[in-house]
Amino acid sequence: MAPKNKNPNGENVVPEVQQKKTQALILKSSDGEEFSISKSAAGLSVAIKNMMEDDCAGGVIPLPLVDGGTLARVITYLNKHAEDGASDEDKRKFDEEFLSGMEVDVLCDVALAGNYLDIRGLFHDVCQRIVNGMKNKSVEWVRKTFRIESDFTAEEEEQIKKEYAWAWEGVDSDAD
Amino acid sequence: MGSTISSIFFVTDYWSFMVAVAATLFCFLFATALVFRKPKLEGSPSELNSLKPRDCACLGEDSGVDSGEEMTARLSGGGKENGVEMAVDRQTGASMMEQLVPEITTHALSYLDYPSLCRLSMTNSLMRKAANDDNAWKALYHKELNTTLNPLSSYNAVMESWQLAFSWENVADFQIRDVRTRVLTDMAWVTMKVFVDIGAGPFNVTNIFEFHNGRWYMVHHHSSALLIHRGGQQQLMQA
Repeated sequence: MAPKNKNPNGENVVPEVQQKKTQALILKSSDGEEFSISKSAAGLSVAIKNMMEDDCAGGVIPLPLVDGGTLARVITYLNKHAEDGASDEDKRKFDEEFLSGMEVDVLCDVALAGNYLDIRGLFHDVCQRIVNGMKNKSVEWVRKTFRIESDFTAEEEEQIKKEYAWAWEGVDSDAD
Repeated sequence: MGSTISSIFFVTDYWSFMVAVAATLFCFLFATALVFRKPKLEGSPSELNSLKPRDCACLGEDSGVDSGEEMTARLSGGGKENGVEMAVDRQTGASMMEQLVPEITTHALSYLDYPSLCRLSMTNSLMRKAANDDNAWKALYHKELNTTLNPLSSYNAVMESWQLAFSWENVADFQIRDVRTRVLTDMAWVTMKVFVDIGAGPFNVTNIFEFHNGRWYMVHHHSSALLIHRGGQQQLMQA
């Protein structure tokens, strides 16, 4: 447990060349893509913040659970939220647009990444977005959209329809 | 005489020795804990990794990457081969919902309203299991009933009041009489008289239940003292 890179005053010694680098981190996705991100933006992820605090965020941080496409999206989000001039209103608008263009699959990937990297705001918004797609939709529609395959037998299916008839009433049309 | 003194010394030495041993052990344990703490923190991503080896179905299409200016993306070799595999996976892929780890599913489902949650539970057996998770319903209970009912209207408040009622030492026993139940399709109410053996009763009790997803949930509880004893003094417990 000998301290590394400390001068006699106990301060961290960072060589000048490295000093610039400390302003940014490199995140590496599961498929080997590398992204540079400012420390302030990366710090919005509690998982990365903890790594930085524990001093193990040097060099490249591998994120084996996040693929490049998803990581790019997450970084876009973090950059916006770390932006100095961005007001809450700006961020809210950004979040809305950011998520509205995503398919269910992409949303699920971002949810996993948000949870893994512990980015609370993103995780909550994405979860909300995912389930919004189910609200007031028919059972069949939810199956189709979320690719849920029914494993009930025809009799079970009948039984459910009979027992919970209300669930088939007053739902949005499947057309949208 | 001499031997007595020496044996007293021995005893004293023995105890100070034991104290020293205990202190040393404690230090050792503390140091061990410190040493083990760090690798655990560093190891957490790979721990997570082993928990859920997933197939990153999204990789095949990178069309949605729109943040090029803000970051420097460097593609390293090998990504393409993976990309092909992922694309194939996606074709045959199971539902995205099923790929999410259970904690995430539960969390996401807690944002649903309960008719939609019920409908989801009818899509297949896996979703039924997920939608029947107590935590999802607990969250729903917190959210829905917190805003619609007063005054003892949050999940915690209700649980606390029940805890208080059950830990009330004076209540050695109580009896229930005149239970009347009325059940509609998805709602039931139960009225009864409760006689508590500390002489404070009897109480008139009303419980209202709602039927959701195969289970009855108590959504309202009211208990008030009968007028015979102390005119009009009421105890209110609502859920």
